[in-house]
Amino acid sequence: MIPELGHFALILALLVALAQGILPFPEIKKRSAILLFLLNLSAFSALMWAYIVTDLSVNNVAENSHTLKPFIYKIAGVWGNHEGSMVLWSLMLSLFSMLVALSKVQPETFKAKILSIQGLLATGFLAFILFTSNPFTRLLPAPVDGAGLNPILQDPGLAIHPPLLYMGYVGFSVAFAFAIAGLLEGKLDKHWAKAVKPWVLLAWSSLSAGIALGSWWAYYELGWGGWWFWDPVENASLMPWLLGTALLHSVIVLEKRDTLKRWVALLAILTFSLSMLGTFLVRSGVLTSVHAFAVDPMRGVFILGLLTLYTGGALAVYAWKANTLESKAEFSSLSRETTLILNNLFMATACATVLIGTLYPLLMEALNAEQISVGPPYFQATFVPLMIPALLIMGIAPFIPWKKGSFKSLTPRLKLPLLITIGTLPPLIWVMENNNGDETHPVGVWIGLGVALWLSITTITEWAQRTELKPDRIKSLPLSSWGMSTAHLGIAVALFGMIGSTLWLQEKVLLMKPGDVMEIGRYELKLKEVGSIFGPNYAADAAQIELKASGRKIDTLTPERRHYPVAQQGTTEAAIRKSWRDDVYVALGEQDTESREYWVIRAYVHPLVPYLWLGYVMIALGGFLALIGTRKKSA
Amino acid sequence: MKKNFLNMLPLVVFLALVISFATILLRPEKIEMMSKPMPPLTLKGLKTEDIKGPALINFFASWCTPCHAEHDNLMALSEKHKLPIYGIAYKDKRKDTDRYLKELGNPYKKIGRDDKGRAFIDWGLSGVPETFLIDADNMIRYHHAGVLLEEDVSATIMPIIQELETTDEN
Repeated sequence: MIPELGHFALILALLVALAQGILPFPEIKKRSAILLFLLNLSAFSALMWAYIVTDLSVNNVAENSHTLKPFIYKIAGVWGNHEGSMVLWSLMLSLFSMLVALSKVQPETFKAKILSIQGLLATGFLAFILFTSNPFTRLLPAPVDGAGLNPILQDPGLAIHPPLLYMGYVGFSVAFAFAIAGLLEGKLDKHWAKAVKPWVLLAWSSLSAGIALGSWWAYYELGWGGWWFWDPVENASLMPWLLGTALLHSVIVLEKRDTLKRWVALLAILTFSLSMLGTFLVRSGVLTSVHAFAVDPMRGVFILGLLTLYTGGALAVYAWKANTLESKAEFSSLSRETTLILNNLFMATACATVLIGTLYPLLMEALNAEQISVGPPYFQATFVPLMIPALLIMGIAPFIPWKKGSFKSLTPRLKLPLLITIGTLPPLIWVMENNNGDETHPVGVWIGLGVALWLSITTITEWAQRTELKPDRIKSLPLSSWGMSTAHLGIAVALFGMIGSTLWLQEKVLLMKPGDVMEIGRYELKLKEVGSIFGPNYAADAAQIELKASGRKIDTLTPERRHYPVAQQGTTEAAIRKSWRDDVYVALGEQDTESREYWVIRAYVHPLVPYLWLGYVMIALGGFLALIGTRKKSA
Repeated sequence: MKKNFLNMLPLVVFLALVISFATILLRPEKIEMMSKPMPPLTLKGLKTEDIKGPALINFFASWCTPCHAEHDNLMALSEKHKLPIYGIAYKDKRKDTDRYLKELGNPYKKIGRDDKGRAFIDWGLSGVPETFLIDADNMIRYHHAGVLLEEDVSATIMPIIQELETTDEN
């Protein structure tokens, strides 16, 4: 009964969304937005109910859940599959629409246009769910038990990764709707920017946190010993992040200086379009990758249709109305505006290179050429060089005033950070190479660590000069400034982690029998034994490995190879010993089939990788701080 | 005019992308057929000259659980579709193989014994089960690693055999 109510709520939601989209009365639109959220919430709750009680007569539950599954993963199971995740997507879309309806966005005609666009977006996605991905389809007769959640997805990090990611993706729909409404009204000015900024910040911060969690999850769960693989689905989330970063910074320019109007409109349209493209790539099976859990051509065609309608429609509005936007403000070549435009150019170009690298194999296929794949070397050769100047400028930009800066006042302020960078770089490299030895990459090391040092030192110096380190000035510093400094410093901190774990990564794979010792970096790993253990819904081989650093025993690591009998699938649970210097990462591989004595043991040492996670947290936190700042100001 | 074109540009680029996506999505799926000579077989019970294609060559073992899972599909292929299947028992004791086939039925026309894993290496396997489709000229036309599901049979194996038959007639 409850699943039928959920299904019915979705059908009603479709009608309400359509009403919100096309009826011309602002008051009805507002009420529809609220009703739409409640209906979506009912559908989502009904599905969650089916998961909690493990109602196996619901096909979606039978395919993705199991009575033995731990409670929290029953709940996370709701969005751990295609249909449920689309319901979550729709729920978030309606949440944002309701928030706009309840907000003080002015004037009413402008707000009504935004709600219309959001109603039309919701209509398309609800139709997609009802016609191609209905989560409430019944299965008769009901099976004895479910097929289990994909065991790889049974992880706390993953329980909250999709909601955050979707919050980011869907959050950009607000900026998208604002841009179209602004174009139609011919009013895309500083007031528009001030109104849209909190929404962009919310989406951007959530997306940052979502990407960070995904990266963290890949590192800890997938057992591949890396945190970024240039997988198409990762790229699909990176692209809106890059454009969203550009959007965030150009919205600031528009707010302060009433310029870059057309560019901001285009960015807002493209950022959400890339979010939809991300969904399209993952859901349609156009790109196959570990992430693509729904491969159905019908769905692909439907999403492509929606994408064509929405992005094509928005770009048509842009082509028609962009001429009506006039930007008049003038600024000199050395000004905050210029640095932010450079930021935008670098972010947009980086996004384009990722887009090309992700789509190129597809386009070649469309032209019936050979199937090729584009791997990490392409991205390292194109993306990384673009980031170096972007990060260097990022360090300087906060020092430069709006409109017109001068080298005369800039140079003395940059002298100190430059001297500190030059002074600390050689000792830092010396320490790193001494600790992690072996292979070194002289040029990469100098450039990478140089940039990371420069960015962190300039960011701290700028903060210090701004507050003059006086307690009352630190206290009165606006939250938006705190946000900027935190996020920028976060980028630098994450950069240390990325560089350390890439350039000084040590990796060893050995066949070991109990008693054998592996030496890696400053560590010694001794395999004691491999035994069997049993969890709630899996059985596992678990190795006991004694970890020694500089001859002293510091820990016992127990990597596992789990087997989930219901899902007929295995996972690798790596064991990780964390410290502020590095991570030792051990994964248990296969047993040799001949003598059954030896095990494949893979070990990595990732220097500085903890700073990557710390940096991620700071980046997202910075965004949220700035968001709270905008709310405080307007209140 | 130039300005107007610039404003149109994003739309034009986007539509071009949509068209290429649509071509990929709407194109009927093509099955990748290969054409590679079959490696020689010199096993006890099964030699190269025993094999008459089109046929399947199936590596299996009684101790391998996934092999149990595909057994029904092999039985259906040999009984319903009259497709000859040659089995290669990989590192399996003779009496285990016999008991296994007695219990589940024997889909194989002939069985070779790969006790030393020689054929396993020659054929480049990564595990059992794996299945090869051989045409009338003893060329490998399709290779399937892992359990052969019902949908693999209907969506891949049977279409390839039909295509091989039609090309033979020409």
